[in-house]
Amino acid sequence: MSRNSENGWRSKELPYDQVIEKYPEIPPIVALKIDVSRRGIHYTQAALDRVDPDKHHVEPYNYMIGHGKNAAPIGLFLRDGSVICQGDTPDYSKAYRDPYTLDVVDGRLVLTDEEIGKVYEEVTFWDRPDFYDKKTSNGTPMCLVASARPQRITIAPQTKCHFWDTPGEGCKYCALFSAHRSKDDEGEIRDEKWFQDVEETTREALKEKGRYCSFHMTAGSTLSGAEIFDDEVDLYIKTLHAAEKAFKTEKFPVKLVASAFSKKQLQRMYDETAITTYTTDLEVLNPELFKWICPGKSRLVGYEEWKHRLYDAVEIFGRGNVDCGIVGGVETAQPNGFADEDEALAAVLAEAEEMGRHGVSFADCVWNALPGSMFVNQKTPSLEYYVKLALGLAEVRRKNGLKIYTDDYRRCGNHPNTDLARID
Amino acid sequence: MGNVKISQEIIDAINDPGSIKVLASISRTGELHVVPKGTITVNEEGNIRYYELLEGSQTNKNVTFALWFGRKIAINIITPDRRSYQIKGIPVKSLVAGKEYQKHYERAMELIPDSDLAAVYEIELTDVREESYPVRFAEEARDNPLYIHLDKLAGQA
Ligand code: SF4
Repeated sequence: MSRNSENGWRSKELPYDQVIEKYPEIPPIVALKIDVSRRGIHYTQAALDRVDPDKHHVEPYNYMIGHGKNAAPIGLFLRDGSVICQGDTPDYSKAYRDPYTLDVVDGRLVLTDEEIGKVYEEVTFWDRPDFYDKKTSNGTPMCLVASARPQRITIAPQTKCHFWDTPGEGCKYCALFSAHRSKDDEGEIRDEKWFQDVEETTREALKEKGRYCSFHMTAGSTLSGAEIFDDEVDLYIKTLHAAEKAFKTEKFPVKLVASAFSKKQLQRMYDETAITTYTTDLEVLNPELFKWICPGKSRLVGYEEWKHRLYDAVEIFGRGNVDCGIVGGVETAQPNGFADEDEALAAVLAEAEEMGRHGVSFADCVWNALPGSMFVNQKTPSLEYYVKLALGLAEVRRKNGLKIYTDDYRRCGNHPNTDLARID
Repeated sequence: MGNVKISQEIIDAINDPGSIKVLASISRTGELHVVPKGTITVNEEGNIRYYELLEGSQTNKNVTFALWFGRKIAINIITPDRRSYQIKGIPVKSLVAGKEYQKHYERAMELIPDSDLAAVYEIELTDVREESYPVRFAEEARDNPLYIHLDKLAGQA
């Protein structure tokens, strides 16, 4: 018996159909996206048979995680144009809940809940980026230089997060770059050849007309330098300068998700590169839980300082051009998190409101207890919680007159609360 | 969802670049919004297809709102020879990325060289009716014969 078939989770929380009835202000398709992100997706053989690697976007490995596995799709389109950034979960026997199923019914690729026996939405696979078949003049396959979502190109200048250098100091929900966690592993090498590869890959990607709306950069944190993160800033600047050669304008839509830089570092990035928006992730909007869940960030920067760096960023980039990423739901992780979902929600939204008043927008990721993370065996919150969180954060944004740009449904696509900004 | 079929005459009226096409939608707060949308056509399945060229436009928001909550939007077509058709429908699909979208992106640039296609909406039809005055006048006389000023009915002295 698997964990999810034994624990009776379905009887302990409101199912999707009742949640959308109870909260008529949540678009059913957004609630479905949240639930799928929370529970995961299992592909049937019929669905896998629909995958055409020459046509669809498949990854031979997960670009952002780095473990080798069979080539498989990494995301799906819903019919409102939004995306679900999840691939197949082949083994879910240890997960708290069983996943949705991607199946073929009446010739259509659909999301279903097998146990309920209901078909929810028709979906399509993402298309393969044209640059994936190309190589740089150095002979590097471009699919190793950059990855993509349907409307963004992604470059990870650093595939190692140095918070893991001190054992136990990485963020507990995080599976990013988990192939490079040992102290001696420096991640992928970024030499002059690589920067040239970045320029050529970006140039090639831009040949695909109508594909990309945003240039995304993120990496693990680099702590070294005269001031903490100085080397990370240098690396981003150098990478951006390489990519900038492929553009004719000085500024273009860049989604940068990085460490909490000091005001001096941010000013430098703004003055010297194409960026006009900035995202840095406080992850969990509670100082005590931040200390427990993100011990490296807490020890080396601290909750209040991280927050103040967000406020400093607003002074440089402007209200609504600075986003704080959060792992929505992780505040309920046990044993130290909120045991009561209502209390958790009230605390998170009160803190979000304070930050919203300072001009910070939010990008809410649905916490999913991922393999490769320390929280792999945790129970994530109910769908009802995630729906109320997305609605609450959307209200904070509206109330404070904030926009959302590079973390929105199109330039990113992974945040239910920013999907809701489509109709603001 | 709608599955109303339209006649070839109406398809031709909608696809005629000389026709004036106006789209009415409602925002999430209930505000009405009515604007011309020259890029409304009929697709191969007989559904309305419209290119939204402005990502931040109120219509884009309202049509997404309609798609999300199964609400109707309304379109009026006025042909060069002054026939008028009102069409209502529910948006069922929005393409904002992918190869199919990219084909439309290039097509939109052929139509308007500087355009930057935001979305391609597909709208299933729920109601279609001709709104040209002579047609509506005849219908009114048939359906509501009592709606008339008496002087029109006055006898000879
Ligand atoms: S800072 Fe935290 S969330 Fe980001 S890559 Fe490092 S461990 Fe993961």
